[in-house]
Amino acid sequence: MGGTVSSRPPASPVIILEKPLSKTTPDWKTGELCADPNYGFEEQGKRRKERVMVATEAEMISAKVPPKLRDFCAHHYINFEKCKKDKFPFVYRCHPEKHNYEHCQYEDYLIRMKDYERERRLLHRKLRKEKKNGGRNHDE
Amino acid sequence: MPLPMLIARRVGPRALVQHARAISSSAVNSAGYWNKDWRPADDPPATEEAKRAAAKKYGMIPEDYETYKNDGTGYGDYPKLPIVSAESRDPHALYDFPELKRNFGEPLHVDADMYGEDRWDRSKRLRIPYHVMLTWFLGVIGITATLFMLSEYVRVNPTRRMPKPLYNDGKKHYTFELEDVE
Repeated sequence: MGGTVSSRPPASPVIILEKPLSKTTPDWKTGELCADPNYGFEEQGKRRKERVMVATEAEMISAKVPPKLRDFCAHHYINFEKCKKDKFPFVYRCHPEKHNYEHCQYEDYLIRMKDYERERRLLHRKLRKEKKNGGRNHDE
Repeated sequence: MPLPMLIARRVGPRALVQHARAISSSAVNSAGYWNKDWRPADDPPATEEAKRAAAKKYGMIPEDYETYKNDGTGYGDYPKLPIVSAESRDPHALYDFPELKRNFGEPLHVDADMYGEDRWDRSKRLRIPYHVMLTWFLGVIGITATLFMLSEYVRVNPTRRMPKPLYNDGKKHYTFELEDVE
């Protein structure tokens, strides 16, 4: 989906640490990966499921979803906001919608942490192999 | 009966001293009754004669009498006095107004309201001098501000997670659920 709205926050005027200090620290700022996300799964004949964006861009624009909330939980967010608007001022009746949205964010966070840990272990593995092969990386 | 004399009567043994002083200070007896009458002249005295008259008006000797610079922001013919904070004056002296440590007819500094006993004691000997205070203040504030500004731009990432995937960041995102390759 080619977005017309830039969803990244504007860059800070001063960036002292653009890259992580250590060679084995994943790049948490950009989320840059050192290997293919499916690397290591092909040998088992498996593949990771791709994440599905449910809300379309038109829906998000029409619901005025803030750019930083246009993530994979945006459809839950839209549902929640819609419910709040319908049932105002008795917004406590939107508890199920709120729960769905927060649970989605929780799952999203778990995936992000797992991604980080996978990246960290892959970086350690890469370094290990480089040391073993005398500075050359034969893994790629 | 003037106020200082009333006060002098009430304090008893001091009465004679106070009474004598109140009479001997012939300073501002005929200055006026309303606040507009107490207003200083617009310009400093130009001639020696006028200067002597102004000094007399303010209860000073002409040698001590000195005015502020007449640059448009001055105080007219009001005398320029040395700053003596009330807190630094002799606590055991007999004053006409002991609460203010003031005597009747005594010329007042133009910022006298700033140097009362409840305000700034300018000539106080401080336990910590001003430049040490300033250094400590700037040091603490500076270090705090520096840490705050650094924390704006330097991330330590204690939560260990990748950035939030957004729908149009141009990358493919995957869950950790597996499916078979067809």
